[in-house]
This record gives sequence, C-alpha cells and structure tokens, in this order.
Amino acid sequence: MTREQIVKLVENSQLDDGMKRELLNLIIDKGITREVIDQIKEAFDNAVISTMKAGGVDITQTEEFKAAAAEFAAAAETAKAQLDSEMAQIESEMGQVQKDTAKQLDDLQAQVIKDKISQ
Amino acid sequence: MGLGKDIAGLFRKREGAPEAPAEAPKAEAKERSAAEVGRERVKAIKEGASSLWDSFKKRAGSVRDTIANKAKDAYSMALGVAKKGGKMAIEGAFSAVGGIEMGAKATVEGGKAAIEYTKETGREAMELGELALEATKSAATRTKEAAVGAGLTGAALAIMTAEGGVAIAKAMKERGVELKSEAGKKLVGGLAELQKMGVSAVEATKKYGADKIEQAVKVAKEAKDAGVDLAKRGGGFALESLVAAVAAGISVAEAIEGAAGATLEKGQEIVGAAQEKMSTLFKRAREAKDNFFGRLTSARDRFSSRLKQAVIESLRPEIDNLIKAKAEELLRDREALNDPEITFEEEDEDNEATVVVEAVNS
Repeated sequence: MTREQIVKLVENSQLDDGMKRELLNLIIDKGITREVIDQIKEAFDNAVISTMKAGGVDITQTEEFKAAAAEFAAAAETAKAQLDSEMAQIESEMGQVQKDTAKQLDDLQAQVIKDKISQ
Repeated sequence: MGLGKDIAGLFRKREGAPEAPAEAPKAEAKERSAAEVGRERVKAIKEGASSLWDSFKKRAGSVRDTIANKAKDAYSMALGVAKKGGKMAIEGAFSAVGGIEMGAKATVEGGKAAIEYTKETGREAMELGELALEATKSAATRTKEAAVGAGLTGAALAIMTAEGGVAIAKAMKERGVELKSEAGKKLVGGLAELQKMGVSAVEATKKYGADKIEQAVKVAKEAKDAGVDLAKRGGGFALESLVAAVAAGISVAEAIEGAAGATLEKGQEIVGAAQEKMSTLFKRAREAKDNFFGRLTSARDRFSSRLKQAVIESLRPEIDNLIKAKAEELLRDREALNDPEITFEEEDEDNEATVVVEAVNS
C-alpha cells in the first residue's frame, strides 16, 4: 500500500471529518511510520465500535470482544516491557559512551595543561 | 445525529422490552468501563512508548552537545595557550567560545518563536481534499515545492532538493527562518557553499542560522585557503571551533597550528568516535521502537479480526441499512490496512521522517 493509497483510504472513508483531519495531519507531520499506521488502524476500530453502538449494538459487551480486548492489552504490555528493557540497555550504553568520552576529553585537557607547564 | 438514537428506540419498541430494573444501568456502566479500561490501557502503553522515544531523542541530543562542548573546552584551553604564548589565559578563550555557542543556540531569527509557525501553516483552513492532497506528498516533495516557490535556483535549490533537504528545512523551521525570506535565501546560499567544503548543511543550519552563516562561510574559505580540508578534519566540529577562535580574535592560521591545532585534531578524533557510537545506539533505539509498534499493530490486527467477527455476528436484519453499510465499509477499509506491503518511512537523527514544510511555504 502506498502513501497515496493510505491517504485516499482515509479521505474517502466513513470516518468523521474531524478524525480524517487528525489522521491526515498526523501523516503530514510524521509520515507513514509504524506508529502512524497503528493510529489509523485504531481510528477505524473505534469507528466500527461506535457505529455499531449507534445501531443499537454495543459490541464491547460481547464476550468475544472482552476476550479479544484483554488479549490485546496483554500483548501490548509484553511489547512495552520489551521496549523498556531494550531502551534501558541502550540508555545505559549511551551513558557509558558519554562517560568514556568525557574521560578522554578530560585527559586531553590535562595534556594541554601538562604541555603548558613543561614549556 | 438522531439516527442511532431513533434506531435504538425502535429496537426497544419492537422487542417490547420491559423497563430496565434500577440496577441494570449500574451493571452496564460497570461492564462498559471495564471494556474501556482495556482500550485505555493500550492507549496509555502506546503513548508511553512514544514519549519514551521522544525522551531518548532529547537525551541523545544532550549527550552529543555535552561531548562537543567538552571537546571545545579542551580546544579553548589550547587556544588560550596558543594565543597568549605561555600564559594560561584559559578563561578568556573559553568564555569566548562558550559565548558564541550559547548565542547561536538561543537565537530564533526574524523575531518569531518557532512555535508561532504552526499557527501560520494554514492547515486548519484547508478543505479536507486539499489537506489530503498535502498528505499524499512526501516531505521531500513538499520541501522541493517550497524551495521552488521561494525562488531558489542553482546550488541553493540543489541542496534543498537533495537527500538532506528535508532535514535542512526542519532545522530552518526550528530556528524560525522562512525559506522565502531574504534571511532564508542567504542561509541556503551559505549552506550550499559550506557543503561544498565538507560541512554538513543541516548541522550548519542548526549552529549558525541566517545571522552567522556569512561569518561561517568566510572562516571556511580562510581555512580552505590555509590548506585545511574541513571534510577530512571533522567538518562541522572543526569549522565551529575555528569560527569561535576567529570570534575570539585568533586567526585561522594560528588556530590550526601548534598545540591548538593538535588539540583540535585529537578532539575531532574523540568526538568523531563518540558520534559514531551514538549513531549506532540511535539506530538500535529506532529499531526497538519500530519493533514495539510492529508487535503492537500485529496484536491490534488480531484484535480487529475478532472485532470484525463479533460485528458480523451482531449485524441483525433489523439494524438500519445505513448503519450496516457504514460498519461494513469501515471493516473493509480496516482490513485493507492489514496489507503487509506498506512502505514505511524511517526516522533518522536529523530528520524525523517528515517536515512541516508549509511553515516556510505559507
């Protein structure tokens, strides 16, 4: 699916105009990223639920929905825990890079001073 | 607006349902909030991931700045030695270099805060079709259109339409420089010259903006005439150090000779190695974020497939045809988004996927 196809899908969809504008602005601001696509999918899921509700059927009350929603939330939590762990590791390595580099630069400064003193 | 309400009313009449007992609404409200809580949890998790990524980017930027500033401190110290020939005039040279850096960072040219530009984009006033047309264009296309619209030609147009053009436009926006303004044209012209001499145009936009670009170009030319190949000596970092030295009253030749020159070179080596490691970490972090959204969206697709099933089973004949058609169309569109062939746009260190180029195009 190309960027243009995604934009057209949103534009010509049954989403309300406010939501369309929100999603189109998101595409302009962030491009077609995984995050943006997820946001678009969420908008459609929510629109399906609210449309059904407007038709007198509250899908969220079905056992199938409750089970699916619980499974989804659990998967999201697992994915977030993995992200947290990976980012913590990267942050830690970044801290080490900063520390090591600062040490090298301190040594460089110290060398400048030593050179000056020995002159 | 009343359609859903009317339909719901009709259902109640048709089914001849008795008045609900007093406890029922409470129970229903409880159930509803439990379902809402699940969706809110996912929303909060997603927002948490986005904000984690934003914090990481800020922290990475801050680490880079800290490293570069520390290297400049060392260079300033060496410059003090070089300039004063035996006297430790560290403080003087240090403050001169620090002052230039702080000034460059704090400047937002044209007297406008960058944030104001978002109000001037005119996107709110666009018709939906017009907005959609904008959304179909890649950031590179919008940047190119803005550059052509601003009347840029030759080398200036070339750098705005080349690979880094989007990132330059973003950096300009952050500094509040309009592409079509005189300041914007002057800046892009200077960037084109610096790029030829091996200095990153994006970096130079961030460091010098329109008000210091001429000074930077002048120093770069002097360095070139003195036989300094900026590209081989760390590009932006070397130039920035030389610009600061010149501002402190030290000639380019003096700044690259002896102890100062050696310190500059060593500093570049250290900073270069650190930047390389930071780039690797940035890529890893971006992959971690992309993997998170990949996993989240796969879970969402599974959820959506079950939602679809629940909807199909609930589409009773008595439901209004319009509602039914709308739900079916939404489901079809939603399913289309499950396409595994979507081409994603990547975020890199200088360019967060896209740039709101209309800020400088309005």
